[in-house]
Amino acid sequence: MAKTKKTKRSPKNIIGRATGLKGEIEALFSSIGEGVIATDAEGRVSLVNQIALDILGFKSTDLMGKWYPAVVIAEDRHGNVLSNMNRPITRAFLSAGPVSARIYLRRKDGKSVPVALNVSPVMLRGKPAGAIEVFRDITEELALDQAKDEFISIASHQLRTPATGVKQYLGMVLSGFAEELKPEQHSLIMRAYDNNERQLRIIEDLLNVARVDAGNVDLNIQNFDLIKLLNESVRDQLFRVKRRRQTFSFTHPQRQLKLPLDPERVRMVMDNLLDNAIKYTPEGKKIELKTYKVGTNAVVQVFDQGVGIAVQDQVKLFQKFQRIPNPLSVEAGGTGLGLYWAQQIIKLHGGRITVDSRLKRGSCFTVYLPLNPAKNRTAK
Amino acid sequence: MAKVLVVEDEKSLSDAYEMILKSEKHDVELALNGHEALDAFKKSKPDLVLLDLRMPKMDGIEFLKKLQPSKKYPKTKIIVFSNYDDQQEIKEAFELGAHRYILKAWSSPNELLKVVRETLAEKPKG
Repeated sequence: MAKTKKTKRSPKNIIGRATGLKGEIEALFSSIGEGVIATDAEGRVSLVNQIALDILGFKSTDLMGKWYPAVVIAEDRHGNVLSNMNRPITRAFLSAGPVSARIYLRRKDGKSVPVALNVSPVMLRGKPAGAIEVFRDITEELALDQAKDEFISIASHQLRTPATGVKQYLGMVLSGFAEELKPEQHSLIMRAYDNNERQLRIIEDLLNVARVDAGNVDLNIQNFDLIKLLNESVRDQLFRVKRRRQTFSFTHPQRQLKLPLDPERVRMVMDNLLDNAIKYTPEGKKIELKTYKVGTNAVVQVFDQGVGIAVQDQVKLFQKFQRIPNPLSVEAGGTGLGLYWAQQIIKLHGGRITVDSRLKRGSCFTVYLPLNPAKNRTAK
Repeated sequence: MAKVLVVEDEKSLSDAYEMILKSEKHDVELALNGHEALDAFKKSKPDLVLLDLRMPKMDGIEFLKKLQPSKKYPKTKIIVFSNYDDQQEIKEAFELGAHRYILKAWSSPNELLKVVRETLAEKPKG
């Protein structure tokens, strides 16, 4: 027994076992269906599997031992080279946590390939000892997405024209172009008109989402007073608050809060949040709007005493076509696109929207907008 | 009362706009594309053009380029309307002399009449 133990611990056997283990790890890596690249703590490539080589068109010798960010260039979807600080692998090192991203990697032949990647730091005794990047080629997914976006865009435009016609003719009937309507006739036509408006709003939502998904949103950034913008949004929606006998307050410690933003689009985001608060809050309850500065951000909060959102549903809130069932959702209507679009627009500003909610108690939506978006973007 | 030229390729919409404008006693003429609109414009010299931007044969932008309203017809008011909401196209229309823009889907008959009244009451550009 003692002899056997000795043999197992001999340096020769340890090296043998380590070599075997390395072989096993390499075999494991090569059988993974996605591209895998591992680096050491300095970012030098220590392992790469065949799928990664196939996606990037490199040979193993082109990459092994080389500084990864220098050999494989990463780009955004506009073809801008990502600085080392903005590369997912650097962000994973700095945050000591996993990072997911969709970026483009430049192949050896100079062409760029879109990839979805996850990169995780490898931690040894609390310190990063390297990183593993797992990625897959998403060229076909993107082509499908683009075809879907184009379909939505074309279909929506085609739907818009006849729906606009319906609006004009119903509008004429309601305005007495044919003859004065009896109250019952007016009420029925009014319901048709309201449904047509809803249809047009759905088309508008679909078009907005198709545009934002296709990357066709160019923000018109101006140095704009957020408080003025919110006051305008409140002014236009206050009649609905009154109609539902809700109480409303708007507080802002500053008199003015100017920051770079796209006024039209941020206004649509705020309209959307207020509209939701009004719709999902029962009659007689309270809605509060607050805006203030915290650190490098302007913060807007919409509190309501509405139906609330269960924790398991909160993650779905900002996804496309997700509508959370609740006692007021049928009455409230909607497409499940508003919050998805709002989140995308705020992200384009370098900010984010979060939610804090309890069932039957109410919700608070918080929008963070960077006071200096350019600085925040490079800090990511 | 004003002379209004409505340029719209969708017949059901141009018929609706004609009825809406006639309710305020405007003198309305219809054209289905930019070519027809250029001919009609030269004959009747309207006070106001309600111009769709996306049309077959000759679109609204091409019509404005050929007409050169700011240079040749500074008194004529032009309202462009579209259902595409293409910001680049709208910007170009304004550079070519348009006074107002309406997204068709969001304009009810009463809103359309209001914009027409306001545009007609505006002083000529320049």
